[in-house]
Parts: sequence; C-alpha cells; structure tokens
Amino acid sequence: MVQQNVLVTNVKGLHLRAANELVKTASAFESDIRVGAGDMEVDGKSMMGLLGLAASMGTEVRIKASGPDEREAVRAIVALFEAKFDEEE
Amino acid sequence: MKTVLLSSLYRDLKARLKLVLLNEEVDLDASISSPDIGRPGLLLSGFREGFPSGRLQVLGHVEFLYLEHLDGAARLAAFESLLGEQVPGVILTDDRRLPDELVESATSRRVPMMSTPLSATETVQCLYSYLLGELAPETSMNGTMVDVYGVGILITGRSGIGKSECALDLVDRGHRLVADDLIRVISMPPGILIARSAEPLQNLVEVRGVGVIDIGSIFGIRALRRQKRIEVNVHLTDWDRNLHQDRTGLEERQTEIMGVGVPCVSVPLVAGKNVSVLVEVVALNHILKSYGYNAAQVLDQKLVEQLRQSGRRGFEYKDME
Repeated sequence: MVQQNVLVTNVKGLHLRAANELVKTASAFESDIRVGAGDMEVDGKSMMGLLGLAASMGTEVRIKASGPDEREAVRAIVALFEAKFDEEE
Repeated sequence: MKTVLLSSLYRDLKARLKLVLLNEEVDLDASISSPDIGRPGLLLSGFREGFPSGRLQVLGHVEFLYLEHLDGAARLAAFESLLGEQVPGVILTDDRRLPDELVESATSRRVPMMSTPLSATETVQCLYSYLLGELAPETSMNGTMVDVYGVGILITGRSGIGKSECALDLVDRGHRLVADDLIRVISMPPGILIARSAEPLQNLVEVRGVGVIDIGSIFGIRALRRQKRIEVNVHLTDWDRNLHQDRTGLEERQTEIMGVGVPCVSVPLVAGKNVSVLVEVVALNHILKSYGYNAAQVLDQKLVEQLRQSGRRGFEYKDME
C-alpha cells in the first residue's frame, strides 16, 4: 500500500467537477484507491463518496492505493490536487 | 471518544424538558462523555465509595426529602459533597427548588443547576436517550441503503456492480432511498445500527451514464427516508462458478459492522437476473423469519419426517392421481 497526504489548494475545494476529475484519474488504475479526510474514508472511484467528504480548501486529504499500479495511481492523484484541478492559473 | 457540551444539551432539551437555568452566571462549558445519569442519594447521605464522576446528577423526590430533613449546616455540607465530585451539572425535578445558599454554593463552584417540571424518571429517560444518540459511535461505509417494505436493506458490493441502479429500480417500485454510495452508520447499543446519508448527499443517487440525480425531485417524498435501521445486508458479487453457494437458505451468514452481526445474503449476478425482485424477496423473507417462519427449516423438517416414515415402511409407490 502506498499513502500520501495532500492539501486541497483550489478555492472551490473538492466540488463536483474536481471530484469528477479525481474519479476519472482513479478509474484508469487497477489498484484499489481510498481517499480520506477527517474521520471519513471513501472509494476514490466513487463520485458520491468523494463529494461526501466535503473537503474544502485547506483540508488535508489522505490518498491510499493498493494494487499493481499503486505508486503511479497515488502520484497521478496527488498531481491533480497540486495542479488545483486546472482550475486556477 | 465523542463528547457532548452541556450548552448543546441545554439548547436541544430546553423545550422538551422545560429546563430553567437557576444560576445563569455559570458557563455551560462542561463536556459529558457518558450517557449514564447519576442519582446522588447515597452520596448525599455520606457514602462516597464508587461514586462515578462526570455524570449529570438528577435530584428526585427522595433526595429532596433527605436534604429537607437535615438542618442548615448539614444540608449545605451534604450538597457540597456532591458539588466536590466534579459533576457537570445538577438537575432538580418536579419543579422543586433548593434553598438559596445551596444554589449560591453551586454558583461559586461553577456547577450549573437546572430545574424541570418533569419527574425524575422522565428526566433521566429523556437525558439518557438524548446522550445515547449524541455519543453513539459513528463510522462511514460504502454501499446503498434502502427501505424495502419497512426492512432496512444495506446493499454492498464492488464499485460498478450496480448498487445505485438497483436502488433506483427499487425506488421506482415504490420503496424508499436512505443513502447512496456513502453511508453514515451510527451504533446504538445493544446491537442496533442506524444508517443515514452523509449531509451533502441526501436524496442523491449517481447513476453511471446519467450523472447525479435528485430522487426527491423526481419521485417525491414517498421515495425518501431520512434514516433506517440496518436489518439485512444484500451483498452483490460477480458470478463465479467455482464459488460454492448455499442453495438451501438454511445457512445464515452474517456481516460484521461496528462489532454488530447483520444477516447477510450474498447474491451472485448473472445477465437477466432481476436484482430488485430478489431484494424484495429477501426483505419479505426477513419479515417472515421475524414472525417465526423459516421456509428452509420447515421444508427440512417435512423431509426428515417423510424420509423417516418411508424408511420404516419401505418405499411405497404411490400412484399420482
């Protein structure tokens, strides 16, 4: 299992479009992906789960992956957060 | 561990218990971590051993009789022995009042005092059930929760297997959605699990290809339920010919959620299988079982009896009409 924590840095937080991007990225990997914030942890390939996290700007999010492509999966998802889901210049 | 602030308890129960704060200058910032309510009769009479600290104290009829029969100084001393036990608050029942010097003593020790017109039993019951709910352990899990014929069905299975589509079909057939995808589960002892939707997702279902849809707007209020006890878990799996499946229904499997066993029915999916009808039958069968009828057991008993008789007489050929 690979885990990395990342901060939500885009102003809108993990809203509908961002969650959609995350699901798209996560679904491309075979590994099981979990995303956690606070006391909750949800399936990274489930849109509703991610929305349920209600992760706003400044929240620390835990990205966990386990499977054959776990390293690449975590790297790709962390990159999404770091790029602020391409929402701001 | 979860805690409840006395100020939120006061805010939530003020109307129901008709609470009056007797010393308003004291802050309600104590936090309560146990649902148990204290009755300080023995402590007031001088027996301190084993007195549990941290509990709200409710003074009822006998405690008042006892305090009344003491003279001034002894009464204050008895009451102060209670205040010295780190109690988060004291509640007087039946609209009774204590002498001013006792209330003043509580104020100087920063112990809030409240009064209610309800009886001690009613007060304890109300406080206990409120605290039990507020302090109940909570977790979140992946799945879909539906009320089918009044039976709380938790549908689980890997992502993409069709939990949400199944819920949609069930709602279309007149059943009620509790939560889709992300479920908050609250454990209420003994052995009761309550499922709710996570706040921002209430009434919503995500269907692949369609997107997020609002069940309340499409189907109306009859399709929704705010919370429901988890009674049966229907676990959807991919069809696997090597998997040995119990075909009789005699075997009762259980899933464990927060340390509570929930009856589990595993349903392998194949093309053409109508999952919604299956879930309905699981719910109805659960109701039948709760009324004491287990079809698999009845069939088994009938078979055993028949086989025993035919064994005694030799197998008789009977003409079938």
